[in-house]
Amino acid sequence: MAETGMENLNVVIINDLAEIGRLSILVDDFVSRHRLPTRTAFELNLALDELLTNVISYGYPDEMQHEIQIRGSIVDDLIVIEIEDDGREFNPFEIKEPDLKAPLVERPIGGLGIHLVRQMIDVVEYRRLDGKNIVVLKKSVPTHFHGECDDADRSH
Amino acid sequence: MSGVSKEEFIVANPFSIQTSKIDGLSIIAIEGFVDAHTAPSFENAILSEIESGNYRIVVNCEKLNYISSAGLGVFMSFIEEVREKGGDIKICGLVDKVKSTFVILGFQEIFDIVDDKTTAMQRFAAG
Repeated sequence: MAETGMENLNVVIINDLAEIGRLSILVDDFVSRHRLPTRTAFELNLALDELLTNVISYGYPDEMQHEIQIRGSIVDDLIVIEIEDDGREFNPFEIKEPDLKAPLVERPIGGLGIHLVRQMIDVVEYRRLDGKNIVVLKKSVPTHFHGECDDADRSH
Repeated sequence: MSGVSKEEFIVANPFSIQTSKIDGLSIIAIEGFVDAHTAPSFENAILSEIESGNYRIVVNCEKLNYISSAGLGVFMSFIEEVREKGGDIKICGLVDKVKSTFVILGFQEIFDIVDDKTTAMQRFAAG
Protein backbone atom coordinates (compact mmCIF):
# COMPACT_ATOMS: atom_id res chain seq x y z
CA MET A 1 0.00 0.00 0.00
CA ALA A 2 1.49 3.33 -1.04
CA GLU A 3 1.28 6.04 1.59
CA THR A 4 0.12 9.59 1.19
CA GLY A 5 2.54 12.50 1.66
CA MET A 6 1.07 13.37 5.04
CA GLU A 7 2.34 10.15 6.48
CA ASN A 8 5.81 10.39 5.03
CA LEU A 9 8.86 11.74 6.80
CA ASN A 10 10.44 14.74 5.13
CA VAL A 11 13.01 16.61 7.18
CA VAL A 12 15.91 18.90 6.42
CA ILE A 13 18.55 19.30 9.12
CA ILE A 14 21.74 21.34 9.14
CA ASN A 15 25.19 19.96 9.91
CA ASP A 16 24.98 20.42 13.67
CA LEU A 17 24.99 17.42 16.03
CA ALA A 18 22.18 18.98 18.07
CA GLU A 19 19.89 18.53 15.05
CA ILE A 20 19.92 14.73 15.48
CA GLY A 21 17.89 15.08 18.67
CA ARG A 22 15.29 17.18 16.86
CA LEU A 23 15.14 14.64 14.03
CA SER A 24 14.58 11.80 16.48
CA ILE A 25 11.36 13.43 17.73
CA LEU A 26 10.10 13.64 14.13
CA VAL A 27 11.04 10.00 13.53
CA ASP A 28 9.12 9.04 16.68
CA ASP A 29 6.08 10.85 15.24
CA PHE A 30 6.50 9.16 11.85
CA VAL A 31 6.66 5.73 13.46
CA SER A 32 3.71 6.35 15.75
CA ARG A 33 1.57 7.70 12.85
CA HIS A 34 2.07 4.32 11.23
CA ARG A 35 1.19 2.58 14.51
CA LEU A 36 4.52 0.80 14.63
CA PRO A 37 6.18 -0.16 17.91
CA THR A 38 8.44 2.31 19.72
CA ARG A 39 11.19 -0.28 19.38
CA THR A 40 11.17 0.41 15.64
CA ALA A 41 11.59 4.14 16.29
CA PHE A 42 14.48 3.38 18.63
CA GLU A 43 16.22 1.25 16.00
CA LEU A 44 15.68 3.75 13.18
CA ASN A 45 16.91 6.60 15.35
CA LEU A 46 20.02 4.73 16.38
CA ALA A 47 20.87 3.97 12.74
CA LEU A 48 20.17 7.56 11.65
CA ASP A 49 22.18 8.94 14.57
CA GLU A 50 25.24 6.85 13.70
CA LEU A 51 25.17 7.75 10.01
CA LEU A 52 24.41 11.45 10.51
CA THR A 53 27.03 11.80 13.24
CA ASN A 54 29.60 10.53 10.73
CA VAL A 55 28.42 12.95 8.04
CA ILE A 56 28.26 15.97 10.36
CA SER A 57 31.57 15.23 12.11
CA TYR A 58 33.70 14.19 9.13
CA GLY A 59 31.77 14.79 5.92
CA TYR A 60 32.51 18.41 5.11
CA PRO A 61 35.74 19.95 3.92
CA ASP A 62 34.66 23.46 5.00
CA GLU A 63 33.08 25.22 7.98
CA MET A 64 29.96 26.23 6.08
CA GLN A 65 26.39 25.34 6.92
CA HIS A 66 25.08 22.41 4.91
CA GLU A 67 21.68 20.81 4.61
CA ILE A 68 20.99 17.11 4.94
CA GLN A 69 17.68 15.72 3.73
CA ILE A 70 16.00 12.78 5.39
CA ARG A 71 13.02 11.18 3.70
CA GLY A 72 11.03 8.26 4.98
CA SER A 73 8.11 6.28 3.67
CA ILE A 74 6.49 2.94 4.15
CA VAL A 75 5.74 0.94 1.06
CA ASP A 76 4.00 -2.37 1.58
CA ASP A 77 5.81 -3.88 4.54
CA LEU A 78 9.05 -1.98 4.11
CA ILE A 79 10.19 1.18 5.88
CA VAL A 80 12.48 3.08 3.51
CA ILE A 81 14.62 5.95 4.81
CA GLU A 82 16.82 7.99 2.52
CA ILE A 83 19.60 10.33 3.65
CA GLU A 84 21.04 12.80 1.17
CA ASP A 85 24.05 15.02 1.91
CA ASP A 86 26.40 17.16 -0.15
CA GLY A 87 29.53 16.20 1.79
CA ARG A 88 32.64 14.42 0.59
CA GLU A 89 32.05 11.25 -1.36
CA PHE A 90 31.90 8.55 1.26
CA ASN A 91 30.30 5.14 1.35
CA PRO A 92 29.92 4.26 5.05
CA PHE A 93 29.23 0.63 4.25
CA GLU A 94 32.71 0.13 2.88
CA ILE A 95 34.02 0.38 6.43
CA LYS A 96 35.30 -3.00 7.53
CA GLU A 97 33.18 -4.83 10.07
CA PRO A 98 34.80 -4.43 13.47
CA ASP A 99 36.47 -7.40 15.10
CA LEU A 100 34.49 -7.54 18.34
CA LYS A 101 37.03 -9.92 19.83
CA ALA A 102 39.91 -7.54 19.23
CA PRO A 103 41.50 -5.65 22.13
CA LEU A 104 39.57 -2.48 22.91
CA VAL A 105 42.22 -0.08 21.71
CA GLU A 106 42.25 -1.72 18.29
CA ARG A 107 38.55 -1.14 17.67
CA PRO A 108 37.79 1.95 15.64
CA ILE A 109 34.76 3.82 17.02
CA GLY A 110 33.37 4.59 13.55
CA GLY A 111 33.33 0.89 12.73
CA LEU A 112 31.23 0.21 15.81
CA GLY A 113 28.64 2.76 14.70
CA ILE A 114 28.27 1.18 11.27
CA HIS A 115 28.09 -2.24 12.90
CA LEU A 116 25.12 -0.95 14.93
CA VAL A 117 23.47 0.39 11.74
CA ARG A 118 23.73 -3.03 10.12
CA GLN A 119 22.14 -4.65 13.15
CA MET A 120 19.22 -2.21 13.18
CA ILE A 121 18.53 -2.17 9.43
CA ASP A 122 17.79 -5.05 7.04
CA VAL A 123 19.16 -3.59 3.79
CA VAL A 124 21.61 -0.71 3.37
CA GLU A 125 22.46 0.92 0.05
CA TYR A 126 24.74 3.73 -1.04
CA ARG A 127 25.09 5.68 -4.23
CA ARG A 128 26.78 8.89 -5.33
CA LEU A 129 24.56 11.03 -7.53
CA ASP A 130 25.05 14.60 -8.76
CA GLY A 131 27.68 15.38 -6.13
CA LYS A 132 25.58 13.96 -3.31
CA ASN A 133 25.84 10.94 -1.06
CA ILE A 134 22.60 9.00 -0.93
CA VAL A 135 22.17 6.33 1.70
CA VAL A 136 19.05 4.19 1.64
CA LEU A 137 17.96 2.15 4.64
CA LYS A 138 15.29 -0.53 4.33
CA LYS A 139 13.71 -2.19 7.29
CA SER A 140 10.88 -4.66 7.39
CA VAL A 141 7.80 -3.61 9.31
CA PRO A 142 7.68 -5.87 12.35
CA THR A 143 4.93 -8.43 11.87
CA HIS A 144 4.26 -9.24 15.51
CA PHE A 145 3.78 -6.60 18.10
CA HIS A 146 1.12 -5.75 20.63
CA GLY A 147 -0.53 -2.44 19.88
CA GLU A 148 1.48 0.66 19.18
CA CYS A 149 3.71 0.60 22.23
CA ASP A 150 5.92 -2.34 23.19
CA ASP A 151 8.00 -0.36 25.65
CA ALA A 152 6.85 1.56 28.66
CA ASP A 153 9.73 3.98 28.37
CA ARG A 154 10.16 6.63 25.72
CA SER A 155 12.01 5.73 22.57
CA HIS A 156 14.72 7.94 21.19
CA MET B 1 26.01 12.22 51.46
CA SER B 2 29.15 14.33 51.16
CA GLY B 3 31.16 15.49 48.18
CA VAL B 4 28.27 15.54 45.74
CA SER B 5 28.74 17.52 42.57
CA LYS B 6 26.08 17.99 39.97
CA GLU B 7 26.03 19.25 36.43
CA GLU B 8 23.02 19.37 34.19
CA PHE B 9 22.68 19.91 30.47
CA ILE B 10 19.41 20.48 28.66
CA VAL B 11 19.27 19.65 24.94
CA ALA B 12 16.61 18.63 22.40
CA ASN B 13 16.76 15.17 23.87
CA PRO B 14 17.32 15.68 27.57
CA PHE B 15 20.53 14.50 29.12
CA SER B 16 21.81 14.97 32.61
CA ILE B 17 24.64 13.59 34.66
CA GLN B 18 25.24 13.49 38.37
CA THR B 19 28.31 12.29 40.23
CA SER B 20 28.26 11.25 43.87
CA LYS B 21 30.63 9.48 46.23
CA ILE B 22 29.54 6.50 48.27
CA ASP B 23 31.93 4.37 50.33
CA GLY B 24 34.93 5.52 48.33
CA LEU B 25 33.27 4.76 45.00
CA SER B 26 32.37 7.31 42.36
CA ILE B 27 28.78 6.81 41.22
CA ILE B 28 28.07 8.53 37.92
CA ALA B 29 24.35 8.52 37.07
CA ILE B 30 23.58 9.27 33.44
CA GLU B 31 20.03 10.09 32.40
CA GLY B 32 18.31 10.54 29.08
CA PHE B 33 20.16 10.48 25.79
CA VAL B 34 23.88 9.98 25.25
CA ASP B 35 24.83 10.69 21.66
CA ALA B 36 27.68 12.50 19.93
CA HIS B 37 26.22 15.80 21.11
CA THR B 38 26.06 14.90 24.81
CA ALA B 39 28.87 12.32 25.06
CA PRO B 40 31.53 15.00 25.78
CA SER B 41 29.75 15.82 29.08
CA PHE B 42 29.85 12.15 30.04
CA GLU B 43 33.50 11.98 29.04
CA ASN B 44 34.31 15.00 31.20
CA ALA B 45 32.54 13.45 34.19
CA ILE B 46 34.65 10.29 34.02
CA LEU B 47 37.81 12.26 33.28
CA SER B 48 37.16 14.41 36.31
CA GLU B 49 37.03 11.32 38.54
CA ILE B 50 40.21 9.87 37.06
CA GLU B 51 42.06 13.15 37.43
CA SER B 52 41.02 13.19 41.10
CA GLY B 53 42.49 9.73 41.52
CA ASN B 54 39.11 7.98 41.70
CA TYR B 55 39.42 4.81 39.66
CA ARG B 56 36.55 2.83 41.17
CA ILE B 57 33.60 4.00 39.14
CA VAL B 58 30.00 2.82 38.86
CA VAL B 59 28.02 4.17 35.91
CA ASN B 60 24.37 3.97 36.87
CA CYS B 61 22.25 3.73 33.70
CA GLU B 62 18.83 3.06 35.21
CA LYS B 63 17.48 6.32 33.71
CA LEU B 64 19.42 6.07 30.46
CA ASN B 65 17.02 5.96 27.51
CA TYR B 66 19.44 5.89 24.64
CA ILE B 67 23.14 5.57 23.87
CA SER B 68 24.95 5.62 20.54
CA SER B 69 28.47 4.48 19.67
CA ALA B 70 29.74 7.94 20.64
CA GLY B 71 28.63 7.27 24.21
CA LEU B 72 29.86 3.69 24.19
CA GLY B 73 33.21 4.98 23.00
CA VAL B 74 33.53 6.93 26.26
CA PHE B 75 33.43 3.69 28.27
CA MET B 76 36.01 2.17 25.96
CA SER B 77 38.38 5.09 26.07
CA PHE B 78 38.84 4.90 29.86
CA ILE B 79 38.48 1.25 30.84
CA GLU B 80 42.08 0.22 30.25
CA GLU B 81 43.47 3.18 32.16
CA VAL B 82 41.29 2.65 35.24
CA ARG B 83 42.07 -1.08 35.31
CA GLU B 84 45.77 -0.36 35.08
CA LYS B 85 45.34 1.77 38.20
CA GLY B 86 43.59 -1.07 39.99
CA GLY B 87 40.09 0.27 39.48
CA ASP B 88 37.20 -0.56 37.21
CA ILE B 89 34.16 0.93 35.51
CA LYS B 90 31.09 -1.12 36.36
CA ILE B 91 27.87 -0.58 34.49
CA CYS B 92 24.48 -1.08 36.12
CA GLY B 93 20.75 -0.59 35.61
CA LEU B 94 20.52 -0.95 31.83
CA VAL B 95 16.96 -1.09 30.48
CA ASP B 96 16.43 -3.78 27.84
CA LYS B 97 16.59 -1.79 24.63
CA VAL B 98 19.68 0.14 25.77
CA LYS B 99 21.27 -3.09 26.95
CA SER B 100 20.83 -4.51 23.45
CA THR B 101 23.13 -1.78 22.10
CA PHE B 102 25.83 -2.77 24.60
CA VAL B 103 25.38 -6.45 23.78
CA ILE B 104 25.55 -5.97 19.98
CA LEU B 105 28.98 -4.44 20.44
CA GLY B 106 30.19 -7.18 22.76
CA PHE B 107 30.43 -5.01 25.87
CA GLN B 108 29.26 -7.76 28.16
CA GLU B 109 32.52 -9.60 27.45
CA ILE B 110 34.66 -6.64 28.46
CA PHE B 111 32.70 -4.81 31.12
CA ASP B 112 31.21 -5.93 34.37
CA ILE B 113 27.52 -5.24 33.65
CA VAL B 114 25.21 -5.85 36.60
CA ASP B 115 21.54 -5.33 37.37
CA ASP B 116 21.65 -2.55 39.92
CA LYS B 117 23.81 -0.12 41.84
CA THR B 118 23.86 -2.24 45.00
CA THR B 119 25.24 -5.20 43.09
CA ALA B 120 27.84 -3.00 41.40
CA MET B 121 29.00 -1.71 44.78
CA GLN B 122 29.12 -5.23 46.18
CA ARG B 123 31.34 -6.27 43.26
CA PHE B 124 33.86 -3.61 44.24
CA ALA B 125 33.64 -4.67 47.88
CA ALA B 126 34.33 -8.26 46.82
CA GLY B 127 37.44 -7.05 44.98
